[in-house]
Amino acid sequence: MDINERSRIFVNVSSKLVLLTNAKRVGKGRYTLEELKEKSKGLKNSCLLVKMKDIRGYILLCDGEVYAIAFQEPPALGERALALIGEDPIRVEIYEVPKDAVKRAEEFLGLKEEVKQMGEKVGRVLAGLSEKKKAKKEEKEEEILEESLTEGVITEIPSEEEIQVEVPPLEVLELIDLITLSDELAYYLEREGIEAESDTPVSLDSTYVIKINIREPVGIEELVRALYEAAKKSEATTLIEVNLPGGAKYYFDPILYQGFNEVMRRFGITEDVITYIEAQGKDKATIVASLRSMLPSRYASRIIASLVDVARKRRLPWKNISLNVRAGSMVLVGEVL
Amino acid sequence: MELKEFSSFSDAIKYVEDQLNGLEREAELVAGMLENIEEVSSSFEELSKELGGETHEAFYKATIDDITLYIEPSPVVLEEVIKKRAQELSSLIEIYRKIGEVLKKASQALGDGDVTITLAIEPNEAKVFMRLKR
Repeated sequence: MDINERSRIFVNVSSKLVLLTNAKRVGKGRYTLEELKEKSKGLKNSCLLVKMKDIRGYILLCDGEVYAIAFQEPPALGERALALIGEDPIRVEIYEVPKDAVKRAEEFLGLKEEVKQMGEKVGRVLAGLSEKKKAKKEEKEEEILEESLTEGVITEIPSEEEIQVEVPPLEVLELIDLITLSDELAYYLEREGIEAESDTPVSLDSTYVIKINIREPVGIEELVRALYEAAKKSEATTLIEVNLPGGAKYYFDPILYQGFNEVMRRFGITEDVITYIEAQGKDKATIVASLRSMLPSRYASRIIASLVDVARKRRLPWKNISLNVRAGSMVLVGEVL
Repeated sequence: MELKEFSSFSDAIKYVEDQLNGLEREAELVAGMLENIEEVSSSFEELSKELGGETHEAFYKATIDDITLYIEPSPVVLEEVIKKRAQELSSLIEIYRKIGEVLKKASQALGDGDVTITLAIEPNEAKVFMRLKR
């Protein structure tokens, strides 16, 4: 784990609570970063938690090294925050935190492998138990799919597991993370040739989302492709509000885009599906998925069902969501919620 | 103990996600309160050193000449209460995260709808019952 990952200890709320509940105040004053490092060297079983009031942030120092750092004004985390600290003394309040508590806070940053494996094992056992029951249902579905093979798009029958695409629910990120991500996203969009600027994250059904303003007119297909590339590079995995110069507004979700394209690939369709969201008020939205080629009519309904399943798993912040798939001259509609 | 039953993985996962969102919002508030109370507590400790006095379960009391000063709630006690809730919250958040992960992985392997799930959750322990539908 590097300093950027460790610094999420101040972003992950349960990690932060562990640190704060175990912090014991030992003093305050003005110190340089080097002086604080020196102070932390003298501690055997503790680390120094330093609160920087002026820039609303924290540094955690263990054994003379900066273990984690984050602040909000300007928003920065890890190496980026460290680079901004400089050599001048800063006004701080100093706390001691036992190393055990730091370790526990760090454990909260990721789930243990055993937990992940437990779920997989349980699933496999239950799947085995219900195998007989499923067999009949699958037989029927295979018959339908075998008919689809004649259309020449898919070369083999995908199993139920193969067409089930997993996407995580929309993650609720902290404002500090969203601001950083907005800047990075705008930067990478510029690199993709789209003139963009980051804006303050906006609230959508009590969830904050990234806001990006596009300065020059651009087609939706080009924009969506650029957004996906920029999101990959900035590791943005959350919803993005995109405002165009003429007043049009779209939402883009890189994970939904990825999920939809994965569904298509599993059905043998290699063309990119241009996926974005149009909101109609705060409660209603339409996911638009568009591609040039037609969907094979015999299993189009199964593709739509898989897309609806992906969209449902994503738990987007609108109460009523419909799906509109435009494939060549076909228009197919599904209800997500 | 909180007991909840669901007829599909997706319902159980949605419940866990909703609970997590609520707990994380409360945790943010508690973290903010802890940050503030740490400062108040340290100033209060300095004050109580100067004035003497005693900290009771719910208030601080000090007598100066013929005036008795009460501060309620005592920041020291308030800090303890907030820290206790913070510990509960971080345990609950982790428990719900783990349950969510187990349910997601299990649903990937089994699919949705063939199982009844019962969750029994306490701050430090959770039981997840999965029963195949007949």
